[in-house]
Amino acid sequence: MTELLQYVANGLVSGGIYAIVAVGFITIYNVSKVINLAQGEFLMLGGMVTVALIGMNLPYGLAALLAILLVTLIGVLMQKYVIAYVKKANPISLIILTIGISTLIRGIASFIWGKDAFALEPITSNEPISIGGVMIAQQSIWILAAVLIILFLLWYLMDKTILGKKINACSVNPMAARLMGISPTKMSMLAFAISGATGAIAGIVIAPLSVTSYDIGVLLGIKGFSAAILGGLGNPLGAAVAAFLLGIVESLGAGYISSGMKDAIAFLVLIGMLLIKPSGIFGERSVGKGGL
Amino acid sequence: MKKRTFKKWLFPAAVASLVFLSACGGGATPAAESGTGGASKDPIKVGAIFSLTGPNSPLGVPEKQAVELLVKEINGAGGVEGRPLEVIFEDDKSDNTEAVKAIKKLASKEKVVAVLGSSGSGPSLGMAEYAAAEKLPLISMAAADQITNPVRAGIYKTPHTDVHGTKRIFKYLKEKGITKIATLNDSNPYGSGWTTQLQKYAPEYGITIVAEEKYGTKDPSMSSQLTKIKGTDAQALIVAGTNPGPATIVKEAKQLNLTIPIISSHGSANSKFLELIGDAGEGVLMVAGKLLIPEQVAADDPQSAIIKKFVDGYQAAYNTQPDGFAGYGYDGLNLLVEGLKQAGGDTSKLGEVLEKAKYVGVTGEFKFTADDHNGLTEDSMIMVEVKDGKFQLVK
Repeated sequence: MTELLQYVANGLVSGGIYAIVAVGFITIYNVSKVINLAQGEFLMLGGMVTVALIGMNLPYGLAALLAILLVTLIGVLMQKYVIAYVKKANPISLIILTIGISTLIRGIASFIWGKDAFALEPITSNEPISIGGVMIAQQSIWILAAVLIILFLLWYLMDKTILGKKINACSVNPMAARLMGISPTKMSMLAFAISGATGAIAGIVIAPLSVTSYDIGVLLGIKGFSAAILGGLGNPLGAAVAAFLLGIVESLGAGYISSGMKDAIAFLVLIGMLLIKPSGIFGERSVGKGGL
Repeated sequence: MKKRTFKKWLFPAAVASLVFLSACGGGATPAAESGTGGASKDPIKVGAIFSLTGPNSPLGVPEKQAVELLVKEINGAGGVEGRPLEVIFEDDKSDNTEAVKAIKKLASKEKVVAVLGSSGSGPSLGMAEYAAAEKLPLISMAAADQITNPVRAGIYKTPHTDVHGTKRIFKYLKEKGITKIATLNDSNPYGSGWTTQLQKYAPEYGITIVAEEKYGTKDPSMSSQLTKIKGTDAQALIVAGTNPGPATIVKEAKQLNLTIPIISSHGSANSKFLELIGDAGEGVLMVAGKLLIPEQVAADDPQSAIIKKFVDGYQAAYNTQPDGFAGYGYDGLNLLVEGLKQAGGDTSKLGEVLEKAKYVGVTGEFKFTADDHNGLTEDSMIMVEVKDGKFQLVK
């Protein structure tokens, strides 16, 4: 029983990481109908920039804050100088553009920091906490806290503020939004900023759990994207639930079936679910609505 | 409108191409020239193919540095058999095809008498294929057992194999009375090689493998595998992979409160591993070559003199401690020179005489025979423990 709970706990932590990535995908998708495949690179940059700044003798908190600001800025610049420039292109071209950007960011990162992995100190200590025999790293609690706070803030922004209403308006009908004096370009830039910031936060909180390197974004990006699709593209809450589900399935699969088949099991479940419900668990005909 | 868009694209495109160009710039490796030495005779040309760029570059760069250092020393002392030694370096970019291209070029254009390299197992296996067919002596610095097993004429290698590591760990476990182990290895060729050897030799040492788990090189978390291992009655965990995988495992084992000893392979035996595990790594064990802790090698150890000489020279030249890879390169060239001396300068005999070469190196004591072209035993490996963030010899 303890073992089962431990698998679930492990899965919740990985799921939390995927959830932040998935929410980043959806924030941008909702506004601009672009799947930003450089989302994983935002995570990588968050962790790596923090490590680099700490290496320059900056205190942890300041380094993390600067890293978040820098990645947010990169998100904004990416929207301003790439996505907004080719706004007449169809979503598929834009998606391919984001792949190009992700490769470019990865290349520059490996150029600056090399191909080695780096460690980041945990925010609090390395000692695990035992809850009824289930061991949980203190850093995992930070990760889950970060996920919940990000989800709450996003919900608050989208549902309770005028700004959120504007973003939603652009998502539902850009033309009508523009007629109401809302700039879809600005909203899209805001979405990229939010994605950049959440991505960077995720990158920082997950780095101490294992290690971080120039290429960690690739796999996390794929997992987060899968969760976003599984949750029904366009629904942040659905994506978060799907992400946790994916994490738990992965963990249980590795534990009870075969660790070599871990990813295969998770993706088999994903394919199976999408075959049964092509629009995702919480999706509402999003396939027809959007660019995909 | 069209023109404007183009202009706006120009800047990022220019930046991208600059990055690309400068990345490629590192790949060019000029041949090392050796001006001094026996003036009247032609130099003996030796090829050296290392992975100076690409994922294997952390291996290839120290190998090249060690070889360069040794060439200077040899030529300063009058060369080999009165002839200066000329080493021509090539970069295989960590790529199998590039490695084969490089060895073909060295053999046909430069007419080298022997080749050192490469750093990775894949490129080395490709080169060995060609070298064996052309009867060109080759000394590889790569780990895979298949390079010298089965034995081929003229093909040798210097690093310890997974067989040595496995036997050394099992010997240690036997001393400690541990009979049940779990393994968690990378699913790449390096880790799978270990999995095979661990299975093969376990019965010989009376050891049972109670859990055999794998992880992917890029996996961000191995906690599920560790949870499973925690649920078994394993008394020790063996981890084989290259950084950062084993470091992640050590950290997560701590997070899961897994208290059995963790023994890591020599694939992650370097200072980077210590840096990555931080304070989570106290008590982690590792099998490694003696070069990992040169200052702790006993004075009466047959290797102590050469290790000290190599470490001091390397430290003076590059202001950093040599790692195991630098040692593989150093031993490779030393073995080659030993062979050249025994062949009396007759380079055509080189492949044969190497088969009888005996040489005490920094990696271990090499004794090449007709059916052992690696020449090392597990006794040249040591067990170390991480204590206060440093490697300590386990006696």
